Amino acid sequence: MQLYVHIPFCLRKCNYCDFLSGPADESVREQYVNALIKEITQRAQLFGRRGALSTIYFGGGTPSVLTVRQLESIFNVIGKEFRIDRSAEITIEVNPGSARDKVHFLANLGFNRLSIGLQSIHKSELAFLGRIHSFEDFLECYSDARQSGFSNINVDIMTAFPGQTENSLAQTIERITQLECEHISAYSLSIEKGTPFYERFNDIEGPVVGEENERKLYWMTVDMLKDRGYRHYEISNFAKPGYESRHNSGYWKREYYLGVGLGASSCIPAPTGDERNRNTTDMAAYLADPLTKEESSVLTKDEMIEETIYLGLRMMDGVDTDKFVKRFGVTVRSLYGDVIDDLAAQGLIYEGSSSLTLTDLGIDYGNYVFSRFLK
Amino acid sequence: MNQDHIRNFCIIAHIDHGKSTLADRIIERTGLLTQREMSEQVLDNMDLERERGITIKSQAVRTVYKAKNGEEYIFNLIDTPGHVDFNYEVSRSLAACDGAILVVDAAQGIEAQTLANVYLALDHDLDVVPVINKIDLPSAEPERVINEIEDVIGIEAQDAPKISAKMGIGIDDVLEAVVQKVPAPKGDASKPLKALIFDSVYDPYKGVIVFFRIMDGKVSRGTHVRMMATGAVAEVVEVGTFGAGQFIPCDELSAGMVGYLTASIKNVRDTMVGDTITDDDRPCDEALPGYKKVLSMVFCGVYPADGARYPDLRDALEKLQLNDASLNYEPETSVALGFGFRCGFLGLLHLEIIQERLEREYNLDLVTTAPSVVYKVYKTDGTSFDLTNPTNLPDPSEIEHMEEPIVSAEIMVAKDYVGPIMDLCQTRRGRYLSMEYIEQSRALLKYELPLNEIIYDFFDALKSRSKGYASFDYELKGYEQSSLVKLDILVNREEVDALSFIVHSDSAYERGRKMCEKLKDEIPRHLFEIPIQAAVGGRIIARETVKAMRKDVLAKCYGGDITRKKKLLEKQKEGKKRMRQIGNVEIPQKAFMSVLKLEEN
Repeated sequence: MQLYVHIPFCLRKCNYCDFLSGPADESVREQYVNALIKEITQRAQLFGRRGALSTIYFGGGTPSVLTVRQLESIFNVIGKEFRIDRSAEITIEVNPGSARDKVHFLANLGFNRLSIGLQSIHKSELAFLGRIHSFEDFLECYSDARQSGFSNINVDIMTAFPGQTENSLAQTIERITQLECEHISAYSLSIEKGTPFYERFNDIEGPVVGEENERKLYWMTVDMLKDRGYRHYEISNFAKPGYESRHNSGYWKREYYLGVGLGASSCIPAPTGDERNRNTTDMAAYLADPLTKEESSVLTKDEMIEETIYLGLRMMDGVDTDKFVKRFGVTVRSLYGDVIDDLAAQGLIYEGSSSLTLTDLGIDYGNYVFSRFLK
Repeated sequence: MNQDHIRNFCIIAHIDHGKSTLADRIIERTGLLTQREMSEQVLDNMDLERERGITIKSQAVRTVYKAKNGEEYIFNLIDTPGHVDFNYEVSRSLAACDGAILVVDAAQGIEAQTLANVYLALDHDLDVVPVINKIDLPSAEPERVINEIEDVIGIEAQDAPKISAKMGIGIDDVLEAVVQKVPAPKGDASKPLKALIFDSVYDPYKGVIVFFRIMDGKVSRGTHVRMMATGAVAEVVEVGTFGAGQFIPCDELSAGMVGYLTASIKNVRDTMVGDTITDDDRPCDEALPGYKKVLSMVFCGVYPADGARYPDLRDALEKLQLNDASLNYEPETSVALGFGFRCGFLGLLHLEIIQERLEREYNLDLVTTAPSVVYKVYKTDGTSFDLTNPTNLPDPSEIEHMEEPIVSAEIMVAKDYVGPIMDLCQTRRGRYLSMEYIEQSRALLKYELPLNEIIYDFFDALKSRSKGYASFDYELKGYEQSSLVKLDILVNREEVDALSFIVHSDSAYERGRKMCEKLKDEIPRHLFEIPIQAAVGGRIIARETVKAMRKDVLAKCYGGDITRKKKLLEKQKEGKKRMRQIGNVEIPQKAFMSVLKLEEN
């Protein structure tokens, strides 16, 4: 079982961000932490004891806006209610601006992986995206993290936003890879409803910078990172060998995960099929009863099969077809032979002896490929 | 009941002049049973019918009116469609009637379909009873409209009831006028049975339910009826009349009456609308004239979106044809669309209604191709044939010449819009015949127009150019030689048979160009570039390109996104289902109708 802890607070919403997060005053944050502790306790009693936690991930928002004491109390209750694997990957997302004085404590609490939202090294680009930190803030945060003992650091960067050039992106990549961070997530900007960017760009269909340009920047990122020793292991994720995010890989491999906190999603075992559910996204409802669910559904076997394939294909290692047979009792080919042949003929997927993977072309048209596997 | 106390009539009107509202008022104001019937507790039977859930689909209803002279009259009100497409349907309702209420809007006056319907009624020797409706409107001018009726139609209208069906004003005057002016039926109940089938419905329990009007003779349970055209014989199980929403069984129906019968008839083909029913044991000498067989004017291909439902489509068409003899169909195959039917319709509205009924009542998902008229093709070898499917047009070298159908059109339009309407007719290759002012502010324009210029969007164009102040009616005049070519559409260099259509050679380029533009918008981007070309006789005359899609992938998908992203993928997948695969291009089903929307953006 994996555990995701959602911290829906940040100092300021970025222009592109549609995550469930926003600024809040101290009293709300305190109430939230109490509710979260209550939820962790209660949900652990429901099914937490069944297995140890292999990963823990504090995401947001910006979890680092919580005080050290608050993070500690959450961390402590997790430790009390769950068994945690000795080798568990324990990640926290931080903002370069709000984490500096905390990274040392985070390391002491037991976090062993840090995910820093940098996005770009260029001041004008950071301003455009609505980021509140500077590259200098990041450098200080990064070096503090290293000094505190973090040996597994992810840096988020963004691609394909207006104003970014091949050159400016190349500089960002060049500079962060010089730091030898272990993991890089590189996301193409997507315009989501309810964000300031949506108001500005929603009349543009597809990538704001144009499809052609977006793909050029994407493949340039892939090429540069590969050259610098990073493995392209998921559509938007890169890691030095052995440093692939275990927590995120769990989503793509359909591992079970428990999500706690406002609007957090879970995938948990249920008697007839796996259950996916989501906590309420209404803060007042959550504070009143942190077990309030917004939606919940038990998956059919067909749905689990579909998920296994389209989530698995996001990873460059693809779907392990041997494991698939063990899990579902049928071969992928017997279910999707025609689809596979058709997609292979179009050059979109490659069928190996025990795997099914997207080709480079298939990455460009991933959604089309995924949709073909839906019944 | 004595025939003297029966009135069989219909209501005719231009669309929106208030026909249905008046019909509702008449049913409201009259009763469903005579006093004698009430005492016989027919109500029980009605309840039974209600329990079985059988409702009358036909637009016929029998009501009982107690007139001012104190006597009860049976009114059989038979509804008629108002649209030009349905002259045939109007005509078959009229054949069952002895009179017609003509509803004219007190503000708008006579419109094109008013005239068309009156002429049809007079053709059937019906007495026409004018009624001026909507007198409550501020713009109502009943006196002007009365004079217009007298001047233009030439029927007495001075004492026409002035009513508002909406407000319920003057309804009694209408009912009295029906008693006074619609003649009673004049059949002979002692003669052999002779009855006209004017409609029928299929009921899973009772089989075909036949609606008819008895001219002579009588029919009751046990009568061996024979359908004179089809020769089918059956023993009557039940006869009855039409309540509002129910069948009311009775012992016997006789001359002058309107009602239904069931006879365990399973095959819908046995009871053709327009056929004559007689008594097999005592047949009448000759059948009733029936209806003028109306030829289908518009044809299109109708295909099931899901090829496996071809048999369902066939059954549905068969059932619809039962009470709509004007619907023709025969199987055809298309490279693009698979197995389907070439269907013939009276007009575009008829086509749309049938399409909608197939989709709604029979739960079919359809792909229809661009409508086409019937062309006459004369070949160099001296033979000729009627072309209903553009795909079947022979090579130009084998064609001596072609003819296209021409209609005589009457357009009634407010003076201010005469110019734009004349322009419209001009661009549609219309031949101007005449214009007369029927009053100071309105003109009646007469044109001859090629049918293929009006089947697509002529009504819409007429409406938008006259701001709604124009009405239109037409009838087939005949065929004329014309310079016609087949416009082929190639998608990704493959000819798509279902997209071909016949067009006048002068407009081929423009139509081709517009068609390419339209398809460019309709066809989604693929992983590769798709040329869309229009060609005449193998020569490309227009081209557009659907650019290749370069990216279709979401950057992020984590634990919280999975359900949401799946919905997105499902939507994408659903979209694909509504596509037709032509070569390696997926064409949305609605694209096959895009030729309909080439004009007037």
